[in-house]
Amino acid sequence: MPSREAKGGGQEERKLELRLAPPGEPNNHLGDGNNKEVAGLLPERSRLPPPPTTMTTTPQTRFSLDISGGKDDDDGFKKPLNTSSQKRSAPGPLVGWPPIRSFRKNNIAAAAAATTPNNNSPQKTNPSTHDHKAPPACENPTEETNGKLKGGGSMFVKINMEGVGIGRKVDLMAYDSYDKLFSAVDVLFRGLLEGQRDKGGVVGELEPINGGEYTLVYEDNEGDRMLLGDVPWIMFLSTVKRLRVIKKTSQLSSQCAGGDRHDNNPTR
Amino acid sequence: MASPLSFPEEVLEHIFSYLTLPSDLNSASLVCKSWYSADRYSRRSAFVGNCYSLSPPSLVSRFPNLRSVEIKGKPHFADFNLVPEGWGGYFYPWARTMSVAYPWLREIRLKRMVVSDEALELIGRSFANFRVLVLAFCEGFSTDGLAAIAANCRNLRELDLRESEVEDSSGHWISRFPDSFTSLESLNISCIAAEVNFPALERLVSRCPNLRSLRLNRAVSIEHLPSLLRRAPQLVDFGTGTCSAEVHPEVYSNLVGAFAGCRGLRSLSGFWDVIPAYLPALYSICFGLTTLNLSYSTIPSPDLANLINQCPNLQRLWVLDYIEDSGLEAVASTCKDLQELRVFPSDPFIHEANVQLTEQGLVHVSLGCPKLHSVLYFCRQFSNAALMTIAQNCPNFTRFRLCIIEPHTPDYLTHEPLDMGFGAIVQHCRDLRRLSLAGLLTDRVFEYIGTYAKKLEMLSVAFAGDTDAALHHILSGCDSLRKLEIRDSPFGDIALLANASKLETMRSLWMSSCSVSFGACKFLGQRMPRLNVEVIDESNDPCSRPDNCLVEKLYIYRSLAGPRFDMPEFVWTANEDNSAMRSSLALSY
Repeated sequence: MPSREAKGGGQEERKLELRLAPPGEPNNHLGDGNNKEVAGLLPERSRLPPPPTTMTTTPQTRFSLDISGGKDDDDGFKKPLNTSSQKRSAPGPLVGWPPIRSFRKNNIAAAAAATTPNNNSPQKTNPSTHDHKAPPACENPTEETNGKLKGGGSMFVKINMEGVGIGRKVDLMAYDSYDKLFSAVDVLFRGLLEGQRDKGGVVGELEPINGGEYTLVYEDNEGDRMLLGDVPWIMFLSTVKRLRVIKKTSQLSSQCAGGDRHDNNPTR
Repeated sequence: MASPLSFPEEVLEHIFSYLTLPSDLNSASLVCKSWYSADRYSRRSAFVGNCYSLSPPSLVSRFPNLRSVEIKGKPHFADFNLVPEGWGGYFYPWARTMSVAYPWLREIRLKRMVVSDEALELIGRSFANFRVLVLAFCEGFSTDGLAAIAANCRNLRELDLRESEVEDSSGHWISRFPDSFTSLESLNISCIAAEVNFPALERLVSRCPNLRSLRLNRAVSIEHLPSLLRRAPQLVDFGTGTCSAEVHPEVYSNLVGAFAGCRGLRSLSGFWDVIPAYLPALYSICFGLTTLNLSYSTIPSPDLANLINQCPNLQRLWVLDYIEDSGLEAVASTCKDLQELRVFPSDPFIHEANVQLTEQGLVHVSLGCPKLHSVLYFCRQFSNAALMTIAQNCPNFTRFRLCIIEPHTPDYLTHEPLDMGFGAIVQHCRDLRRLSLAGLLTDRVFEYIGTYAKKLEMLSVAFAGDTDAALHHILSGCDSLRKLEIRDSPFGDIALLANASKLETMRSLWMSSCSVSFGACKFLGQRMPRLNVEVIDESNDPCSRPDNCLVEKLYIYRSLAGPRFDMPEFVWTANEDNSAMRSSLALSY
């Protein structure tokens, strides 16, 4: 397999140079002639991940980047992941990876729940990977796992706060208990409340979201509004459809289904 | 000014009505003032690729006689939860403006927009001849909004909710179509979670003789299918609901009969949780199938292969990786007309492969299916050799999207980066318009892309490249580039600023978890008034941090409208003094 350029391969080196011009052409100005300004005004980088090659910026009118400097393939491409290992524990979950839409992800989770020993199971699922499967976002409750599910499954549900027009989404897979969820919601909406305060909008006191003026409820798969904490965490995960932060004073009125839905669809 | 070449405006408009491509009409409008004017009044459809690239009033003022509008909102990576909730993409301002300006509007197609019930109600009230509503990957509305559409749009032909998020208020919205309503041609409700009133649906299907496309949701169970199919034997495209109930002989034979009656069926989808024993019920119509979407079906490979062997005329196939390499071999030998293949992962969150699907499957298909030009393929291993073989077999690729589940995965045979393989792809496939890279990749592959991929319009990059040279190759080399989306790659200020003017020739650039500094964003935003440079940062106010701090997410797009007014608190624009932008929070939904 061809390797990278050896040191001092002049022709190749020039081809790979980063210049303010298309490769092979003389030094044309790209854009609006800001080249000199760019060279001078670029802020220094901070805390970049170490690249395998060295990068040098030379203060010339031609702003070039020397990226040659023959490195071996073995050398440069040692990544944290040990590729020769077959059985490696999954790395920490990456947001939005692999690139699969929520609709499909939720259906995968539901299908995984459906492939129990009773149903037609097409594949021999490695039992040890059960921990990695996310529970379905819909009706089928899963067997108990150890509280925290590893492997990168995610379960985004909407959360709305009374008085705040824009809802947010939280990934319930990121938490393994009600307490952690409460803290996260607290942090999430505190910022929004402060923002509203600045604009002189309707605002609550700077108390903890749950236990203060507000309380956290959820809607389950049957449309009922429930207080958090009544059922075990795992069961909550399998029935929760969305979350709401409501004022305690309006709790009674919000018991009816669809009570304050108009918050979510303002006319303006 | 009279000249031999000047026609009355009506004649010009008539001639222009034969030009269908927006690019042709755009060119015509640049010829002279009278052609500009003729195009302006005769333009009937508009495509707005980025809802923030111009304001609704400027659209209606330029094109006062539109009948059809297509608008896209959020960037593509919003599909993968990279764009926080509340980012934007609201349809209501468009609805409001168009409701006044276009009383004769017939068609609205939206993608990744936030559509409120109020907007849907406005559509129902405002457009007497409304015919087509397509909401692809949208959100923000409920079945109440759908009820408003059903009740008011007397001439509706198409209602397609393609994978949108719909809040379920009631399943009775279907009943809101009046008894006198018979014009429906296409209905796609596959994304609706709750049950829809089935008798009402049956009656609707019965009284719409032109219904050619019907896609049901999961809640419709299999024993309901025969009665629907018998009422609509003219269907061309059908999507089932769940097919997981235990096979009953009576239900099964009912199903066989019902499918056999639909001689014109060309496209099938749905099949959630389908039990393989049901599949032979489809055999009578398999010969005519051109599109088959089994990507929600957990059917094992042998049963899939049996089904596919019945479908020699298949042009488009979407499946889960349960098909395995062996199933794809069956595809390669049977489906000689295949044009598009998508293979989705059944269990993307585990490291080990749960099925025997490797690069070999795609190699087989590339060899056996000469018309293949569009691929989306999720797998866990690949090799440069396989990519080169595929490139040589399929020089006509227009879309090639590969995803290797584990980031940074090298060629599993040689442990090298996949630079050469993708280099072969862009070198052989000169018509390539869309490319998603995968695996371990260095700057080298970007040099190839910049050199060869001259027709590339959209590029997706994740966990790839080493230095800014890579980004520079793309921006300076890809002449046709419209959309570039990058995540988790070490690209930063230098390449971005050096190619600033390129960004005005593109629709948009997305960069997340890269190495762009806030200072560079500010610089770019201030120097390029026709670019909106938006920094998304949910943790903190980037203004409070030093200029050399890296931004979390960056979305740059060209715009005639200037900075937008509906930015949430976690979006900063670098165009102007930020405190001025913060205070003008006139949110519109």
